[in-house]
Amino acid sequence: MNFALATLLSGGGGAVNDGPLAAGIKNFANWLTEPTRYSVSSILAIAAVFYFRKFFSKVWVITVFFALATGLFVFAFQDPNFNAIITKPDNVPIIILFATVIFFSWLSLRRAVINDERTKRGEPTLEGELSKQKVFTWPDLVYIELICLVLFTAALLVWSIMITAPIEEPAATARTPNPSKAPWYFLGLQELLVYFDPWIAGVLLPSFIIVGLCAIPYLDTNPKGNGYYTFDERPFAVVFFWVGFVLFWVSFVILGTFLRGPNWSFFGPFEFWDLHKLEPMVNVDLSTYFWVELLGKPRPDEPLVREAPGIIALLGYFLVLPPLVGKTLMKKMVAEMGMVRFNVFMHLFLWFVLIPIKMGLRWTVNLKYFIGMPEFFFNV
Amino acid sequence: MNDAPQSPPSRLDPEAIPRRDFLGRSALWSTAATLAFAAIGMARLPRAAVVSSPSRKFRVRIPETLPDGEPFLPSGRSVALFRDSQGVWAVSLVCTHLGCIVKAQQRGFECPCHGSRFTSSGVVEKGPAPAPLVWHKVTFEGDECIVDEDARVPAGTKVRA
Ligand code: FES
Repeated sequence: MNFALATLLSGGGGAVNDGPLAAGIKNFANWLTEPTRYSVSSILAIAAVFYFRKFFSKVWVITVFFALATGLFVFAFQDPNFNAIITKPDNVPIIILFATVIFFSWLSLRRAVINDERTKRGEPTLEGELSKQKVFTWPDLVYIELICLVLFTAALLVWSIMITAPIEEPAATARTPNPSKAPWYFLGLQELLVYFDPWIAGVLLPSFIIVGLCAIPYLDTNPKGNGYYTFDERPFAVVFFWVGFVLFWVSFVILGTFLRGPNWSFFGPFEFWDLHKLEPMVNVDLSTYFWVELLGKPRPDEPLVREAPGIIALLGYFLVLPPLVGKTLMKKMVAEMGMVRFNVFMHLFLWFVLIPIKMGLRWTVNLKYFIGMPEFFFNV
Repeated sequence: MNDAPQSPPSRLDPEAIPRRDFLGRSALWSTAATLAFAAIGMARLPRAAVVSSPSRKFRVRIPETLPDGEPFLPSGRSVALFRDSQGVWAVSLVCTHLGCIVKAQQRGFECPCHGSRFTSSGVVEKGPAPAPLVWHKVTFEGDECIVDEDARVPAGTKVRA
């Protein structure tokens, strides 16, 4: 921490006395964590993991991965900028989150690969085999629970003593800390607020998330994959989970914790948190793109006419896509789920997909809102 | 123990009523008690629990040396004052998105919460903020300005001493 403070005071970045290799790695990391590159490369990474799942589910692969990651972490820890972010007491759990999410995702992948092979050979799944054995709740289960309870309480006690919770500057109505971050578990929502109107990002989308999660047992009536890991039997469901939870939600948390700096700008992990970093861009509404840039005339005054392109685009997205996809790509799904289930699912799914679409458009073409009607507090 | 033991009553057999009764009643009473407490709490809500805050109108002297287009930030207030040849004006620092206090930058303001950026006259350049920053009313009294944080004026209103 003192180290970090010293460099902050001297105003220097991290790459001052780095060798060419170290500087190269850091610059590459900064380059890669630009949000568009980060998202595209992590989608490609997930695709690769699933395509080569036999390879990635090997024990030595994950061992090498974690060894490399630890090495990289130790290396990065020397960097004052990285160090300053990582050693903030409230960021410690995020590193644990990072490691555990990767490990348990890998574990599920491994078991899925093993199970798929076993089913192919006509053997029962790992979990199916296990569930034939019975044990007693007491003492077998309760003892394990007790031991976990004691260990975790001890760990939490030690943690809370060793790393004290940070106390920020005194609250004042005329001052907002810069950057102003929500607690880590809300960083996903805070990230959404950057792209959507507050009532959409803060009310509608969270409700959809909760309602959608509650609806899963009613929407997903496919008995395959119940109680055992599999990939081959449920590829769509598994990929959807990985993209939705591992890629988006966890990434939002990591992005919000480590990559969002002063003025809520993006910073690479080795970049100095410059209070005056200026991203020289101007966000533009879809209506401006349509009327001014495409047709070359001023935007109409009447809000509904002005926002017609965005309204039509979104209505098309929500009303035309579901039947279209149902008749073509997802015919099988419609047959299995029935019309009602399929439509409910599709709408939840489309809202989910809208988020990365919007984020990508903001990052690449500086789109502000599809529909921007501040007159009616309606901005999507 | 050769003869088969009598099977214990199954969970599906009709149960004796009293125990159900007890559970039902205690649930009912605890709900009633909770509601009663909540009602007492709510009955207190109409009474305003306000801490009186300092007046939203304040007096400030803009330093003579303030260059054109540079913000002057009176401490403890969420207002930025500017001066140029046409006069003085006050821009609110309350972000029109969700109300964080924006930071003055080399040019314009940036919001620390979701990254909205405004020009120094308050126009939104970037980020989710739906509307420009509000301009507050400024009046002169001698060489001091009185800024009223409750009164808004159309953007572009500059006053002279
Ligand atoms: S409160 Fe300023 S951008 Fe959200």
